[in-house]
Amino acid sequence: MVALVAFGLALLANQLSPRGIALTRDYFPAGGVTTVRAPDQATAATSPAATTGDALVPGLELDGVKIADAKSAVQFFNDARRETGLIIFVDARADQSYAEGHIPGAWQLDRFYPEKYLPELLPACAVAETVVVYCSGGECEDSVFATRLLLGAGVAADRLRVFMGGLKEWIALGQPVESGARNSGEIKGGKP
Amino acid sequence: MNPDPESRGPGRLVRSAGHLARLVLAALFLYTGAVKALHPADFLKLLHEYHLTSQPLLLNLVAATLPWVEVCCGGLLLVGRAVRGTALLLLIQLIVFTGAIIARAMSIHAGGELPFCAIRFDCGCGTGEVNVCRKILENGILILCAAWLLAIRSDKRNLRSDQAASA
Repeated sequence: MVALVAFGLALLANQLSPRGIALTRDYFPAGGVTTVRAPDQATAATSPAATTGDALVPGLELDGVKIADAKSAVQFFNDARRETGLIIFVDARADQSYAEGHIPGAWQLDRFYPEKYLPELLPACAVAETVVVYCSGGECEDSVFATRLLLGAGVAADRLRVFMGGLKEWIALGQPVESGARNSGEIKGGKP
Repeated sequence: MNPDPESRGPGRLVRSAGHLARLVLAALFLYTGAVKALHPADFLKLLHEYHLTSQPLLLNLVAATLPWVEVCCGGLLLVGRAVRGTALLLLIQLIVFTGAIIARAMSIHAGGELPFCAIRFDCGCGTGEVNVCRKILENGILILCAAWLLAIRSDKRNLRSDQAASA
């Protein structure tokens, strides 16, 4: 009885919470592309999973997405086209991590809540020639899953780059980091 | 002078230990449940690392509901309602997840050169990265607390609550 009542209350709490999890969504698609019908439609559908872990990256490459190393990421950041939105960075981490520090000007895409971020992000992706997606680096897989999400939302694979080294490598290279909101101007680090 | 013989001596000690176990479990599950409930996506990612199931629905269901179940159980224990039923639920949960932690640690141990007790990871317990041996010890104590609550004779108020809950 206790279990039933607690389970019922838990389902209700998850439904009401703005951070609630969509029960039917596959948040860890391995083989397939997560498709989102439209930016203003919350429902996402996923094809069956096939593999997990590091095998995700070759899977992305097969889809036509390129992997960017730290040197390329820095070049993209310093490219003048970034100023006009032709090159954009996408941070695939959660709110708190993003606010603590992100690549200056990076858009946010917390892949667990795409409905919140895609409506603003997709128009920017439509303009951009290059979209560089990253997360923490190391064992972080969020950039790969976020890239799949963007592929499913219609962003062309040849525009997408995954910066696997992520923020860890970025900071290790002494590159600037922006805290707070996007374009907050609160920038730390970076070579003079 | 209290006429109830159980209010003195060993009976009193047993009840005090029961109250202590109840409050420890209540505080812990309220805290860890709330931490996980506030960040369900983080909990989902950690849960996924156990490879308990390949079914997204089942994984999402556990990640979405377990933190709130813990908060609910913590609240019930705090107010002293349905104590034995709640203790049984927590006991099952603790045993299952302690088994999962041991299995994951053994898998890491088998795949590397780390001594078992040097292994650390975020077990999704709501307390961040932990040393695996320390976590197993902590869970062992919590299992004993839950088993204690389940085993001892309930006081009248809890007994009434249990009867009402099972009716």
